[in-house]
Amino acid sequence: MLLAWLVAAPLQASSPIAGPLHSIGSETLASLMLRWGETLEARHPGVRLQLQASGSSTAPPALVAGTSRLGPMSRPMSESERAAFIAAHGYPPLAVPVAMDALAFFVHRDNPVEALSLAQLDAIFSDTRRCGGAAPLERWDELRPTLSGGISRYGRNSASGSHGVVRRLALCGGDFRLDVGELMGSAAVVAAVANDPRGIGYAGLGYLTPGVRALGLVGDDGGAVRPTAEAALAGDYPLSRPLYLYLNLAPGEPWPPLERAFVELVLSAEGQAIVEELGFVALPPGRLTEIRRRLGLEPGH
Amino acid sequence: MRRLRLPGRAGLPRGEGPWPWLAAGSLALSLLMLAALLLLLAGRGLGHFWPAPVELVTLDDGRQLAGQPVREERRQTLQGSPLRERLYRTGNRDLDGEAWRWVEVTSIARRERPDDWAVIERQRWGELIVRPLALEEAGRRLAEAPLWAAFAARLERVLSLRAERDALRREVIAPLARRLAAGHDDAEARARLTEAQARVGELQAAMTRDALVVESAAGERLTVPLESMLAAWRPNAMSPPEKLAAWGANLWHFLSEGPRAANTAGGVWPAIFGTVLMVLLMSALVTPFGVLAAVYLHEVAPQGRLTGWVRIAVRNLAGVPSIVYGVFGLGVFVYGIGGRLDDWLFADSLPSPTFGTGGLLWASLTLALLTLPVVIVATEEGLARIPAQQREAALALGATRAEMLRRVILPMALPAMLTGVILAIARAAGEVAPLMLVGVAKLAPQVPVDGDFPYLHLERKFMHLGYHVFDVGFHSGDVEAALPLVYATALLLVGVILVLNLTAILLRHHLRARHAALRSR
Amino acid sequence: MIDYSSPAVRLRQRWRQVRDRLATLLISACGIGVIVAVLAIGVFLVVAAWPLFSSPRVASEPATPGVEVAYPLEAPLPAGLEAWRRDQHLDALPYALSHAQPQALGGRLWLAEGHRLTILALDGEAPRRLARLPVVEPERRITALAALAGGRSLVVADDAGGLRRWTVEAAPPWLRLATEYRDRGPVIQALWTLPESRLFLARDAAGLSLFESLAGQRWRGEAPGGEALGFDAEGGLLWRDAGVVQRLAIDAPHAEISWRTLWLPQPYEGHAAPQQRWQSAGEGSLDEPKYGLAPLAWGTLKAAAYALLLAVPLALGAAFFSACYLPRRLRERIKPTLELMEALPGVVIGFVAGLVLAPFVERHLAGGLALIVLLPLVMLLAGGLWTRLPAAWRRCLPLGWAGLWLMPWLALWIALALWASPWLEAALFDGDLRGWLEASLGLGYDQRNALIVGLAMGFAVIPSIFALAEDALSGVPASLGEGAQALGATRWQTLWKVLLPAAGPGVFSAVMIGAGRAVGETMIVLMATGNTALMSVSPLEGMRSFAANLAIELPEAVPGGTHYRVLLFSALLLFLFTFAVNTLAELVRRRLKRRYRQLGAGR
Repeated sequence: MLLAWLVAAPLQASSPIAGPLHSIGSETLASLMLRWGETLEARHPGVRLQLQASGSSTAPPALVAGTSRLGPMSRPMSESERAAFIAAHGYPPLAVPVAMDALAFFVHRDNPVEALSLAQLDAIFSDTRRCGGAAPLERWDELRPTLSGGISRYGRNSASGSHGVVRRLALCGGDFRLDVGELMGSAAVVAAVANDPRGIGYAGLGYLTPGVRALGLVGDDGGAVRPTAEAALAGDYPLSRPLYLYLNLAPGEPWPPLERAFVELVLSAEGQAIVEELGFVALPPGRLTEIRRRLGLEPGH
Repeated sequence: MRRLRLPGRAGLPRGEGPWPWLAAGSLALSLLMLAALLLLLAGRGLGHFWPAPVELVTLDDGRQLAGQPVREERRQTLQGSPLRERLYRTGNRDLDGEAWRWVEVTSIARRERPDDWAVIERQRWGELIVRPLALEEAGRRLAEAPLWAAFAARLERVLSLRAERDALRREVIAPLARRLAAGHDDAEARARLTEAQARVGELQAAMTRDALVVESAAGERLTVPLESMLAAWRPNAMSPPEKLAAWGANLWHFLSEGPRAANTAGGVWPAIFGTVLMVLLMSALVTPFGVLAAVYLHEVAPQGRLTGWVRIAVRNLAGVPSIVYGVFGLGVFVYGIGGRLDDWLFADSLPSPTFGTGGLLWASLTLALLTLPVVIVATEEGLARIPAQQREAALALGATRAEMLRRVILPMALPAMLTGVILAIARAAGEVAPLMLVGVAKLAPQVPVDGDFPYLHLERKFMHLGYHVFDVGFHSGDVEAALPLVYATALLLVGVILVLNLTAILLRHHLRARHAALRSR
Repeated sequence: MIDYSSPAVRLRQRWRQVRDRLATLLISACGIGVIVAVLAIGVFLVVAAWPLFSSPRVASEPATPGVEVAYPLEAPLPAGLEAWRRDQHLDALPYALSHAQPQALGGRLWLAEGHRLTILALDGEAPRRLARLPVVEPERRITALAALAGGRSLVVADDAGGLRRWTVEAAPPWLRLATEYRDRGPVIQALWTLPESRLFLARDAAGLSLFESLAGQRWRGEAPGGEALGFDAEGGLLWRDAGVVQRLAIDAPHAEISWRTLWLPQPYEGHAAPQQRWQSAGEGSLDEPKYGLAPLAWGTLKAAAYALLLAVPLALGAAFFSACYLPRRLRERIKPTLELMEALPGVVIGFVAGLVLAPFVERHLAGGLALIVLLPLVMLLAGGLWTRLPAAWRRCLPLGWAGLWLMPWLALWIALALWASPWLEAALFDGDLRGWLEASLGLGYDQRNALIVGLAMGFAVIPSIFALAEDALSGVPASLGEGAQALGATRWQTLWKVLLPAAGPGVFSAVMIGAGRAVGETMIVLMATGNTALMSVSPLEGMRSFAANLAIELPEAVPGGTHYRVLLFSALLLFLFTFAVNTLAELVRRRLKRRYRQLGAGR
């Protein structure tokens, strides 16, 4: 009786787990955080998760200013963000990889284009074209003669990790075109593309809906890699990224019970099942054990 | 000399020319737009709770799918050919990988609505749309007939067990756990906690007894434990009164429950509570200060040029964008005062913030500031309407100014103040932009009032109907599933605000009538 | 008979007076306090944005003992390269080195030779020459050279005192002149880039100057004597003068902000021409942040303009009709209804506009555009038909109620136009209006465009304009209108010739208030546009407004940082603009009220 055992689990803890758990950060991770939070609350009824999610870049300021202790981020912290954290607290933040996400480019379900190369994406989305796009791509017929119409571009606001990852990996750090829509959420990007036959936009693979199709990426060898869980885990898909949970935890400080329960849940089989349910890529068990060991949480439950 | 046309005898204006028609048309168009918006919200929002029929669709190539038709779309493809598609909610996301299917209408060979297909709402993976085949108890196949009635009875049992478990968790375990976690260690509480948790374990075990064997449209069979189900119904077999009852029940769940499944299902109770509580707090803050400021401006301050300018400035602050107030709230309340308070009072819980993060108090304060001009202006208008004779009479009878204000002026200005406060409430209830900066949360399922000292938790983040609309519409994982909820939430918000505004309008009407009576005396 | 001199009564009187004074004091304190708190918003924004425009502070101080150079003044060449340079007899020449952005540019070495720059690629074993380009006039010599953080800009100083910035490209023409800080001046002997920032120091014989790559010279002062060592970990410049180490603390947190960089096109790295751009850096601080406020101001005004384009005719038309034609009873019903419309939250309107209206309009674009022409015609058609109706019918559909019974009529035509939309598109535009617009008018089509915002926000501001304009019109003393009508004017003539001239300022102030509301509306613009910081007039393209930008970016901005302060400055602009507009409207309204009082008194 796994469930009965799970419920009984808190009995073994010396003191029950309760209190508020603030989280400010990534919007991509928001649905995951919500579901983990729901599960944690079901397990420990005294816990209160309070979640704000408007983009990964909101996590470091919140951690630095101390407005939250958990910072979910869909990209690693940049050097300057780390430096700001260290300057404020005297020790580096603790990064916990919690899942993988493949960042996919979506087109409308009518669109027959199967895959694009990074250079083509650069030519579509960037006006500095540092990744080798020769000329800007303005129309779908420049990609496929049978198509027609100009390309409408949708993207995320600059606070989001998705924005940063696309900028770094697909645009080689260049500038987005000014006419790339900056929408406030991944769901909004997908909804906009699903309603616009000429649209293209990027969001985490977990946001795939039947209204859109995810594009494959053409590598240097000419073969296309589809954004799938396997490709992301194997590292074949270039736009895959680990999702992180950053914690404000001084080295040597014992884990606060609440944060510990949360991280343990996230790294458990149940937490990773939620990852899969929401369309993200779960971490393989070996990796989980390793992370738990590194964090000083006993391997296994 | 220009020829003048006289109005017609029947009181019908003649020779007005084309312009009045354009003017009438613009009025009609404005009203039409308002009506269209309200109808759209009402239709989509309320329609969502109606149990939609399940269609068993056979395609040209012989494949079958079962789903609830959602909407149709006609458009031109990028290649330039016309296309007509219908969206089906097919559920079964764990089986098919997706819960929705776009089907080209021309490729549909046959559509049926068989009675025995059921929609089952689950805790995880969304809905199942399947045909129930048999019931199992602890792995043993049962031969109870009729199947649906037996299933419904057993599901009822699971639901009541779950309700008991949740109540135990919420009302017994949670407060005990919080108390113990806060360091009040006593053996009795610990024993009670252990007991309650053991009972929860028993309930949990009892819930896992039964399971339902079902078959999907693709022919896949699976066994679904009743423990994972939330509700089940057979829409095609329901009579209209049954559907109406189901509609009412769904609506009630929406209003009374918290959100589920990453905000794409469940209800909005915490958001309703958060909105109302925030608005109440705000009015508690804004009323006294707004009224005092208005009394000062109108009754106490010397009526010079400076006061005139201050009055204009205050009035204009009502037109300053709400986001600017949000910026002020973030910069001054959250970062400034909140951070300072945390350093002084809650230093031991740092780096976990207490007041140094957005929360109920800061949101209410920001909105109170935002609505202060509204209250000041309305109250001043009320004060200005009171004839000077009233004041003079009171003073002539020997009252001091304070007595005159308290006994004569304020009671007379009461309706005006109420109007101001209600207008302020209506404005505050609909504002979202400043809240995004000062304390609204995507999810805060526990409402900020509970049995723990100090009962009202001003530092907590809260959910808000308006922000919920924004959040669920733009951030939720499954947009299709979330949209109807957004409509329903928006409708609720609009309903609350309209009721508040109507009250204000009626009050003002009453007030004007009273003053008209005063004047004519 | 009460004895007024009894001690009890006297005490009571005294007590009443004290209470009165206390109450007055309390009211004054609270009132002044509240008013000050409310007005503090402006003060707060000014205080928060002020540091943006303060000039940098550079001060010399004794260095803490034991401080070490964390960043040397010149990046040392890798060992192999140093030998190579000596072989080539290039060791006296200034150079700059970039290993940044390796995936795009490869490591680059720029060598100054006379008036030219040699560009060497470091990706192979030996440096490979890519080009040799003149960067100053042939008669000049390069005296100093430095690469800015990020490796995409080169600063070149010459012996005539010229100082220029070139941006670096991955392919020919390799270099592009971005900024000429000055053409002549004291000859710069050395250029030192500050670590991890876009500032650099230029040392000449006369002194030391601090430059920012976009904003130009930000500070000039005397150079300390002695020898510069390098930057310490906090970015202070260490000097040794007569054996004593001094530290030059450079405090220029917002050096990139000046009026010019905020409002004028700037030569950003990677772009051929100077551009107006708002693109906050996001991740990584070495990227050039682009804080051009002009696109945001443009977007704000564009959204407001399109909203007013819809709202002004509709609201004023409705107000005219309501003031002149509506029977009193009906008016008392319709006014509150439109006031209810004002209370509709922006988030609901924005949601409907963004997720429902935008795709809908795109699918029915032809019908939608046709409606703009069709609707006025249909209204006139209704008028034409009405005059031909038999009198009995007309009595059933009086003109005063036309605002209501026109609704089904208009709804019918709207439905008709939308139904015929695909057919219209097929007949006139080859079935693809969007393609036609692009091909023949060169108009791009964003799904979330100014048209949608205009519709949604116009809808939101109609009620405020309507209410104020209607108040102004119905506030005109009745005697004026009645007089005109008694002289035989029609109601429309009365409105146009008598009421409007009298109430004109009030109507104007109504429009101003509407404009103020449209400028500050956040959620509608946020949800109904793509928030693209474009500067185009096209109704079919999007925009990004100040208010939406604040909602998007403020949560991510680090308090106290440049981004945060620029955002607060934009909030200040928004505040000042709406405050000014509202004040103007309020003053006009006040004057009007006085005029009405005089007119009314003259009766």
